[in-house]
Amino acid sequence: MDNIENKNEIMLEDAAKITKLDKDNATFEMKNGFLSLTVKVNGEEQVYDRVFLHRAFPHELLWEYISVTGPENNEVGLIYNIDDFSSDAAELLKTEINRKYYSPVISEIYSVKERYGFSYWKVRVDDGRTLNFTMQDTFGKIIRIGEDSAILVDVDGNRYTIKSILELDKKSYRRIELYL
Amino acid sequence: MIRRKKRKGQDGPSLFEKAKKLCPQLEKESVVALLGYDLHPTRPAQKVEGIVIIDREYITVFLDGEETNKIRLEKIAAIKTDNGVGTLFVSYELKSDNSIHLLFVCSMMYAKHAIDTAKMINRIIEHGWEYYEKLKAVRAKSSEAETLGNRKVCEKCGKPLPRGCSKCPHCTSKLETIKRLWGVVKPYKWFVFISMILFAVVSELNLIIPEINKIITDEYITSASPETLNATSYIWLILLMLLSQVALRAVGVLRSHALIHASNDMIIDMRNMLFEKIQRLSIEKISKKTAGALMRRIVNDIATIHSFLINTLPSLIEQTILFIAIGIVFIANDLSLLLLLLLIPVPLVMFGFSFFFKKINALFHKCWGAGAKTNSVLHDIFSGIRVVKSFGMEHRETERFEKSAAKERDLQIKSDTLWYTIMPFMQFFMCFGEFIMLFYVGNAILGGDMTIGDMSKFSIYASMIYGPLRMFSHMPRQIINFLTSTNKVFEIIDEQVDVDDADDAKDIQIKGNIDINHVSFGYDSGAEVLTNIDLHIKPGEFIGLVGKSGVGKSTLINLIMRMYDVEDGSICIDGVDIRDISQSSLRSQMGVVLQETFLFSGTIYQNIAYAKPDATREEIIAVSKLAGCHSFIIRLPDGYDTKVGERGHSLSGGERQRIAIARALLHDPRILILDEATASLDTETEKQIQDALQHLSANRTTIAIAHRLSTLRNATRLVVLDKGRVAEVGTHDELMEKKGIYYGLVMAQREMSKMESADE
Repeated sequence: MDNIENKNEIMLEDAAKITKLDKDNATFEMKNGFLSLTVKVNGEEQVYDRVFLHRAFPHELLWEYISVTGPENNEVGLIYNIDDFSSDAAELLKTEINRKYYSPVISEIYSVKERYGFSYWKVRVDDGRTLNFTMQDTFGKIIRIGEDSAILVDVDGNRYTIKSILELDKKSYRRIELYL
Repeated sequence: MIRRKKRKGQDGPSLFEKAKKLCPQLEKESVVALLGYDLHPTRPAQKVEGIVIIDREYITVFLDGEETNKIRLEKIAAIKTDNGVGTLFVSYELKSDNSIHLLFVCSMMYAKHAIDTAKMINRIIEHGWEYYEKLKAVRAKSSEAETLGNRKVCEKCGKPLPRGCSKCPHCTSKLETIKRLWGVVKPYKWFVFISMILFAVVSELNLIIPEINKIITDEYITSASPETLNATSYIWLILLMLLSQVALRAVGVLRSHALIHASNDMIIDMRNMLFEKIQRLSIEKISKKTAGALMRRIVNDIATIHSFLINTLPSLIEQTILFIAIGIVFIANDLSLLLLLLLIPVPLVMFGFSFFFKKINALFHKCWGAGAKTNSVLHDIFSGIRVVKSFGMEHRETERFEKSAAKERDLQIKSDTLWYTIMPFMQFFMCFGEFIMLFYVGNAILGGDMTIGDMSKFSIYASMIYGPLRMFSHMPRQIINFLTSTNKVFEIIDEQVDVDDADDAKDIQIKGNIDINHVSFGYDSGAEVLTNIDLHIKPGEFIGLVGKSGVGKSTLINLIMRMYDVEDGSICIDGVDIRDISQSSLRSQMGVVLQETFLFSGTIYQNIAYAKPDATREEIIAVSKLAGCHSFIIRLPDGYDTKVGERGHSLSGGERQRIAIARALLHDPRILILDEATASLDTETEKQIQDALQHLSANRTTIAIAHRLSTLRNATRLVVLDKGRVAEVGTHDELMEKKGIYYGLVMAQREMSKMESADE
């Protein structure tokens, strides 16, 4: 049964023409402040001055299934796991991904005040800073991720992560519980 | 010395003051733009204080007070912005080798300003400094904050104003909600005033009855010398009591009538206000809200307000007047001490309430949210029932619904349990004073200071005084629900209309001349979708819009229909800027057929006649024949009276499409827009409709988008869009000769057709 499934997966991959990127065929480096890529596909070397990294499963698999696209939004290849690269390259990729996906992690909610469809939040984030932000349509803009995590999107489009709602302190939990 | 008052929350120097510190020679006049940014270019977790100064010569980037980059503006081909997730990357493209270099990275707080500035710089690069001078002259008329491109902040609290808000929601008080509501109540103020008078009368009548009761008890029932009693006066007293009761009911009925009229009219006004506002909001704003959420506002929230106005508020007023009146009676009878004793438990109960209040408030909010979620799950499942059934997922969807309903039930049980557990005790403590009164009055009777009649009178008053108090204890729940719903309704009513009619918007008779003058546009999220589009369409022309998906074809059509406003440039119809034409006049003379058609619940006849309700049957049949739908309609058992829409006859995609085309043809618009209108039809039917359209489009301007290029064979001109710009314009033959993008697209489709033919 497993064999049949594996075969099916391989056939699908071939049909979808997915190029798997790893240390043998792809070299990443920083150029002009952006990530550039030299990749060998079917023995042919291609150079991209700037590539974009996209997490396929941004909430569950942070360092796996990273799509690499070129300037025309065409997919150059897929990184199955960052660990498929040398530690230096993996570090470079992680930095690039981290600066694309910016979402401070909320560790404590100091206050939430609701006024006329807007809610005003005062929170502490994991690097110790206190942040204030405003949300509109709060119910809709708290995106539940799985059973226990959530993303809060403010009026500007900034995102704030709560890794575990249940692990928040009692007061913080009570403040957000209203919207869950 | 005059000191400028510093706004709360606006700590520290302004962006210009900070920039001046870094560049002491900097003058306000020489600054083209100032940008702030907050993220380290390579270490995102590290917050920085970054400033970008753009003057007429250079773009200079500072990071934590250090200059990190300085580039001559004349070397730059364009400023580019790319959205990350919660971040924005701003870069520049060099003219010399088209290489792209990073300028800075910022969080979304700074993104809008950065995007707007990038667009402005790009236009300066494209049109020269004259563009900037014109822009500066326009901006000089607006506020200083906008000139500097800084985010507007609330004068009072210093918090940034959310986009689309002219008032700071944070600083708007509850009193303001009541004031807003008064705006709705005002037209009915006389009804309200009469109701108030009647409320006072009811309260007075309520007080008379115990007084008569006292006289009957003291002077007749417990009289020491019954033989001296006057039977006639006794009968009069009984009649007076009866009359009071009748008057009480009659005035009550009158009061209810006045209130029912006023509150129902107010509710209808509010519902209409809400509905009209939703209709006026732009597509962009409406599409951000789900149909379920909008329905909930119009139906449920309005019902809550209605219930409060018709049930809770009258009782609240009546009981308040009664409470005050009884208080006055107690004080007038020199029974202030008794009144005080009766009210002793009240502060304790109210104090207990402040604790209880927070908890229950949170639970009510959660119940509201859970209810909305259950509704949305239900809506989701029913909308996609075909998919659910075709994948055999009924069981999973049932589980999903049950889970959501169970959550709502649990929260409801929790809030009801808490409410009904705490409330009886609260009410008991509130009535504790009755025992005190028994003790006090009993003592007074024994001491000869009071009569049995007094006791009867004050017992009734005491029970009456607890009526209002019991009512007040229930009040928070209703007031919270009412204020929450009112806020949610006003949230939509107050939403800024981003595409609105100008004060002097005029109605025009459209001939069909369309001038798209150097139009640029980008959605809120960032990059420009259309750049410097310059296109002039003559009346009666058939323009085919061609290009890859996402190139901006539908956006251009949306701009012509003024679903959005252009950011730069203008669109004129018959020489008049569409922003100066009333939207109803503009759209009533435009006909649109989209790929996704929507048929309203009703008959096919009603759906075709939607845009022209006074159409004759002959007209309906004629347009149906032209649109190729007549033949299948007459085969239906109910013909043109067949019900379609949610509960009606299910039509195929092609059939619905043809009905939509008939609808657009009947509308007889001066400008006809076809956005992939015939994509779901087979080639033969499409050809038939195309011929009909050509026949009809002789006198009207037609703009059509189609991926199937054969659809556009009748076009007088084809406009090829590429990367948001007009890449090619010409007839089919001209563009084929040119061997450019259009040629490539035609060849690719021919190749595909050949393959399909070979397969067949």
